[in-house]
Amino acid sequence: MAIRIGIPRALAYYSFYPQWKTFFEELGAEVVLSPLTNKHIVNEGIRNTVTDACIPIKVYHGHVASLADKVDYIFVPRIVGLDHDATLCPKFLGLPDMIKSSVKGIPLLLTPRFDVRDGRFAPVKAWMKVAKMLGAGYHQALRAYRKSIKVKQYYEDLLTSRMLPEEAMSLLDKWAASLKDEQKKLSDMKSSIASARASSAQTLESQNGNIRLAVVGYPYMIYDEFVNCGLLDTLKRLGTTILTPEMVPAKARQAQAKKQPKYLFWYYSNQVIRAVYYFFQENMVDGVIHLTAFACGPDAMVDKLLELDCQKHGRIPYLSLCLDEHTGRAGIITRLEAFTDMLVRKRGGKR
Amino acid sequence: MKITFPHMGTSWIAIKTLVEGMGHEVVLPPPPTKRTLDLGTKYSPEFACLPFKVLLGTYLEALELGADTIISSGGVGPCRAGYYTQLQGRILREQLGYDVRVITFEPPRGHLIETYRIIRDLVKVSFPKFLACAWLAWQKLLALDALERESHRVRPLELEKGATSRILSQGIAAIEKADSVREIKNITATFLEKFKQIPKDSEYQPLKVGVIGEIYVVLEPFVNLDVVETLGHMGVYVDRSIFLTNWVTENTFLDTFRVEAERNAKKAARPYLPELVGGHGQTSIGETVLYAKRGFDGVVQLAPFTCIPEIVAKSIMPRVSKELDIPVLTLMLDEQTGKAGIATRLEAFVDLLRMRRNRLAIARGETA
Repeated sequence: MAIRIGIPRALAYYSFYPQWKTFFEELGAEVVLSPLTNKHIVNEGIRNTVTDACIPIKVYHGHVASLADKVDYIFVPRIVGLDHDATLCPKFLGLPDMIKSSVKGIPLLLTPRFDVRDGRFAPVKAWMKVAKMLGAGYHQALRAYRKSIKVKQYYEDLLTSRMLPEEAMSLLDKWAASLKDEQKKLSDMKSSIASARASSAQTLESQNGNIRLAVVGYPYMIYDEFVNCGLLDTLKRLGTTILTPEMVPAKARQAQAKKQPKYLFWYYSNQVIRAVYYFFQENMVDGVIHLTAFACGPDAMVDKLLELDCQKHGRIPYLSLCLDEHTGRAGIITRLEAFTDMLVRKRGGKR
Repeated sequence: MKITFPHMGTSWIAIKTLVEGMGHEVVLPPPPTKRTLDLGTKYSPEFACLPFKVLLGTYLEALELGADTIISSGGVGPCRAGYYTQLQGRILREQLGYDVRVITFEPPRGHLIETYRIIRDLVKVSFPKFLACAWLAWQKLLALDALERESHRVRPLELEKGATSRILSQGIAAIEKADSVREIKNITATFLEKFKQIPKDSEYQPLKVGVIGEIYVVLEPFVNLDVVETLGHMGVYVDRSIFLTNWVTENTFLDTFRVEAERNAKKAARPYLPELVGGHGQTSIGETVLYAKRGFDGVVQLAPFTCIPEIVAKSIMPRVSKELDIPVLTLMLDEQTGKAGIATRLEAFVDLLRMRRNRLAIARGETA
């Protein structure tokens, strides 16, 4: 029987899952994804963490607990550095150690350490180590790694063509399942990405009358529908066009870095700030919604910076939504409605 | 320039000497009070940690007193403290409309030239004269630490409560006024002697507790609600893991030359937390391990609410505590924390430690 590897559907999952999945499947392992975040998972997470932890960390613990008796390994990477500007939040740095000390009765953990600042080949080496632990040969591992990187690229292309992670992932799954011929698959993917991009540009064009909102924050806050009480759906229902940091190409984000007098110390925080600067520069948004977690350390800085920057950049309306395990759907909806109503009125239009 | 700087424990004495030595007027902010905290809390992000709020409040009070320049330390993360001056500067200028210059001293490593430039711009006197002042400031730090360390040892043994604290504050005041190295040495000797003469209960075996955690809340008695003194009055010998002098050496000299500071603590932390998580997260774990090995009765971990590194440490702490059999009390401090609440929790903790010591003594076959 194939080795079963559990991947918690939280934190870095939203940025890397297609890559991880491809890698493990190429090695012949079976990937078990934890279910969508639900009440039970949140409660398990709260039970297994210290009270001071933020909701994403609690949710992560819950996802790990939900995988505990279903798999042989759980993949809990220690992601330290994704670029040369910053590390990730300290909680990502200590994640495997927190999990080991907090969640009872878990199987073996796969905890590779990823830090690009250790050298160009550091991430490859980390993946090779994982492959070795799983008993795969060198060439097989290298092939899996190459393929996973390719898939990651497709995934990011899909995201920058304004697709949401879940849509993009299911599209990638569909391709992987339906097509056997590698070459054909490749060309098909490329044309799909191109068409997705064209259609998204068109929608932005045709929906020009819509309120355009930047919904910024960390991917694990924006895209976890349970934690944010279906925020994106609500906004769509309210007839707004949504832009998230992941929809901005990495290069365009990086180009905004020069506007920061001092980089923030956390990778995702920099991405949020840079994406907002990009939206401002391209004049793409009418308002900014910042999604943050209760007691999030980095966001205490990011939130204030965004507030000051929105003010500085022609007083762009700014809404900060703080979420925790007690957040109620009705409260979120009310605030979103009030915010969009205000934007409509500001423009002089009627609902 | 009228220069001001944040408070951290008794560090102001040394910084004042240093800045005055550079040839500037010092606007000494009042020591942090309830008002400082209220002011700071009002303009700080809600989830900024307590040090951020106290510092911002301190700057506002100093600006009221006429300061026009703030000097503070920077950092490279991932602890938020390194970004403080950036954001506080923007809040003061953009939100509150102050015309204030904020000078940040980044850790010299990687910023050597920048640091040199800042110092060159700041120093208005001849360089040898400045160096003499810096040496004086350093001597003051050493003297302050020596007195404080001794007070921790003496306080649990004193017969008249408060005697140690009284002499300590006299000593601090004397060091502040001193203006030569010889005078500082004399004062230190005099006050160490005075500590010796405090009537003590020499039979008494105090419990030994280590105080660890985030540096600012450990060093600033206003924000930790006098934890060290409170424990001392309960008859507990307190060993503080952080003193001003080791903070200075680590952040300026050792780090610059890439000597790994706190090596022991980091090594000790490795089985539990092999990764540097910023601030004092990893050291907190390491220090706890070391205190357990040194046979301490317990450890008190201090951290500001929402402090990320210490939350990581707190999550791992139960495992350390269990495996090494050392009781740990974590106190998360914020602007809502009350002194009575902290005192109650410390009392309960100390009671438990006492019972534990007796139980262990009986188990070893000694009479308690």
